[in-house]
Amino acid sequence: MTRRKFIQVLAKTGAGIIAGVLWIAGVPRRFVRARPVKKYPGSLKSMGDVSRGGKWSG
Amino acid sequence: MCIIEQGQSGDCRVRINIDGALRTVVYGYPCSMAIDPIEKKPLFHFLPGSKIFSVATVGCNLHCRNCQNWEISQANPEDSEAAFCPPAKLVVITKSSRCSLLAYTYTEPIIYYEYTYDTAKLAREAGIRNVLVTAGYINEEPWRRLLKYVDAITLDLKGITEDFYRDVCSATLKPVQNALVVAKSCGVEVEVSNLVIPTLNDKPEEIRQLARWVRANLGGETPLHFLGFIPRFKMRNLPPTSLETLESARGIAMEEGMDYVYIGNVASKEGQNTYCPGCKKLLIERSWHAILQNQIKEGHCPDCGKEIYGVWK
Repeated sequence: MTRRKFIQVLAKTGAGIIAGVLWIAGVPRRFVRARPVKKYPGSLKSMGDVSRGGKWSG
Repeated sequence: MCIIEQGQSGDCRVRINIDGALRTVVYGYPCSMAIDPIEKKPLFHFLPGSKIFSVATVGCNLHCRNCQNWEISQANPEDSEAAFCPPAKLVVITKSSRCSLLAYTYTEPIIYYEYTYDTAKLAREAGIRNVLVTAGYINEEPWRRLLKYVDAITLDLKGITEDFYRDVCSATLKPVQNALVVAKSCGVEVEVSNLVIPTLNDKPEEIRQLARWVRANLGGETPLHFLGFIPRFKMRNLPPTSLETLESARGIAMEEGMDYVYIGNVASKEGQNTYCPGCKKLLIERSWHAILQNQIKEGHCPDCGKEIYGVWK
């Protein structure tokens, strides 16, 4: 690759990145409500004894 | 902001892109349910002495290197255990546990937003009051929607610099500050906590800056809790916060005009109690999470009559 070709590729890549960032920043954010899935991906457990104090902070 | 590719999850691990639609895998699947004293949240000016039903799913949109609950906040849902408890069932369990308060806590209620929102709405209709324990890293629109059903929050303001939020929490400060201001403006009872980590955010000038910001933007009446750090997760190389550091932080915040400044996670006599900002009378005496005495009369100091910020009945 010649030096001129390399600079052209570099400039195109840079312009692409800048255009992408501007596009992300410019798109208005909208509220999207996520829908639940039918099945929990982890394992299910019983609720256990909920009357005990929590072991976690907060 | 996450850009989530098809079949992938976001940074929180619990919201995924399935065929172009955003899905939450934790809706109705709490990993933890328990009944706590409300003082544990910490929430000192909201119905002191109450028991509060507390719930959490796995996941968080922050990745604090010092996270106290990292086993659940940073867990993959695939590797976790959860109970099936949809919103209506959660409200019934809360009532049958004789709790009139429900806390969305331990991890991050914002990350199980839809579950929090639907439950809070049902709980409000059932006469249950809702409490969020959150880091407040959320956009304003969904925050305002949720706050309609929220009665009180404890928001963890983790530091007062963008550098701290970026380096320790993988987040930014501005949305958190905005969440605090919005919550206060919506009439929600707001308390602020700050985990004081040795060498990272314990400099007196940072504490002063934080107290000044809280006073200027939320008011001097906002309860402020300085919590002791306990070495956990990816930050086991630092020592626990000393009582002296926490007492110094409390003194600085009070110098800056904060009326109610507390110390948590480390035993402190004065730092657990509520004093009247007018006449300095001891109003609420606490021992860890227990209330030893409460002198507040209908939200006022019995001696000088000053109104005490909070919800008391």
